[in-house]
Amino acid sequence: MKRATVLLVTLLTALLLAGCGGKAEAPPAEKPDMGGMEMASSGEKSPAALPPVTSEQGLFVVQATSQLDPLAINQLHSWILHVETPDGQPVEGATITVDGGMPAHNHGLPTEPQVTEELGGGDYRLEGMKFSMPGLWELRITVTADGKTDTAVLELTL
Amino acid sequence: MSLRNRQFVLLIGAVLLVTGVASAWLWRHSGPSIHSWSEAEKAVLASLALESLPPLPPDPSNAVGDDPRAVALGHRLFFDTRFSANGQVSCATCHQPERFFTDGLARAHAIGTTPRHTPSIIGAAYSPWFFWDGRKDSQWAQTHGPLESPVEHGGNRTQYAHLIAQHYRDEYQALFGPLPDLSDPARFPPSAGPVADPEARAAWEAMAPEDQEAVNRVFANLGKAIAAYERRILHGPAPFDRYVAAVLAGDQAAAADILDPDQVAGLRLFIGEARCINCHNGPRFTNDNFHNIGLPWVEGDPLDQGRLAAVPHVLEDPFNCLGPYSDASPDDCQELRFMKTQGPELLGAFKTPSLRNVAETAPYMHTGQFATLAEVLQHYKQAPLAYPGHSELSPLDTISQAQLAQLEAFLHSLTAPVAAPAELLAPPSQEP
Repeated sequence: MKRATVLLVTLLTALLLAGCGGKAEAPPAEKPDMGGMEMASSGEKSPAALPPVTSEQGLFVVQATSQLDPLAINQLHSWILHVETPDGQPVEGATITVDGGMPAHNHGLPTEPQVTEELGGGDYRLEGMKFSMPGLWELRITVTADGKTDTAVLELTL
Repeated sequence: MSLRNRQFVLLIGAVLLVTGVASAWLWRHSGPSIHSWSEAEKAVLASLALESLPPLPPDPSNAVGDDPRAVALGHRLFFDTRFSANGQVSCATCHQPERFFTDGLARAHAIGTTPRHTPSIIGAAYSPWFFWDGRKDSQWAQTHGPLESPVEHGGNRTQYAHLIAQHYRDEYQALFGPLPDLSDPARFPPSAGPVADPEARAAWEAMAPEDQEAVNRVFANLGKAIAAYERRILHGPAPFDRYVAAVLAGDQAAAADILDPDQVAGLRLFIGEARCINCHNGPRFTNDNFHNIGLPWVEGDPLDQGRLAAVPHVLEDPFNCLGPYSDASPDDCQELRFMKTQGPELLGAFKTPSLRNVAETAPYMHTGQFATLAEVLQHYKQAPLAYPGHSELSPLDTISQAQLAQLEAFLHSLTAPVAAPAELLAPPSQEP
């Protein structure tokens, strides 16, 4: 009996402590229900460099790096686009157009970004980028080089 | 079962009962606080707080934008009713300091009645676009719209240039250099400008291009002085901002004293399920972008294309950032250079307004369609189809009427006194 009592007192203490510990912690906050829409928290840092994406027909590999780091909404900023062939050769002298938008909201980009400068080594400066909402954005980067055109679709979440 | 075992079982049962009751009591009395937010939510709250608004950056298109002499001149011009067709209208007629620089009317009323609702100018200097449709790209160029509108100030550019020469010559010349010699009425008629009035328009068209340009320069500078004044009219911290500071400091007791449970529930909806933050984001609660939200068309109104019609206007405006009267270099004009000029979403789109002081600035929307916040929130819940164009809204089916009331309660926490020197909130003659 004595041993059982000791055991029980220990158990009781442990339970109470566990109870207190659980109480002291902040409860997990409710995850916002976005009605099926992608809604990222602005608290997470979006990577400034997106992973390389191969264009739809496999002609080009496009890597986009934001010059605004971390990425943020409502700020005009530039990107550097690096374009190469699948075997790693930089694509020079390309004509590049960019559009995109938010698939969940049926709207395009809030600006009309343009490639304003070829920097060499397959790098191009894209100016006039802006994102006006948190959530999933799509960028469609259409590259024309040596008479061939292909589009790479990049996604990012803000 | 032995006696000893039976005692053991009873004891276990008693202990579990006591523990259970104790846990329930503890949970109820210090359980999950409504003021607990996840780290991600705290980051969103911080992004909305005034604390995250950077100091007002210079306006490169306005070289005197931060010159105190321009602020003083602009202050006088802002309240000067001589700059109107009937001597009774000033900027402050509609942008009334005591009403958060709005007028409380559905549509502005000065010389006549305007087609649109008066927006506040508090914090507007942060915006890249002016007017509901963004047809001006600077605060100084914006001033030209009401000054030349037949239903607002109702005047014209040579009239205003003559008034500057007559009443503000020294102040003007200290800032902008010599005024042109406007004394020849054949070259500078008392009433001329590209306005609706046919006589003033004809007189303007008869002027020599270089004389028009000289008047345009004075007109631009007049706007730059008014904008310098308006740049000092900024948002002050609201209860919401103090709440966020308390939450970020981990002080739930202080937080509970600032917002009541309904307001906190409304805030949770605002950044979550109700999706308000999609457009009303950042410390001014606006993304400064243009959206069609399917607002009711008021019978008798002409079709309003909103942003779509404004785009060519701002591109062709000689007073835009790239124009000859701007002090900016082309590199400073990125908003204009990369402006969205096409796309179906421009039709019927209007600028997202700031929500700061929204509870005090009824009625709402670009023609004051809604008299109360409750009507506004009902519109978002229902998300009716748009005419013209397509609405970006989708119905808030899961949001109850009680939750709409919580959202409204939250919006009341965004009211704050204007952050501006007290003397700028009254006409200069009333300065102490």
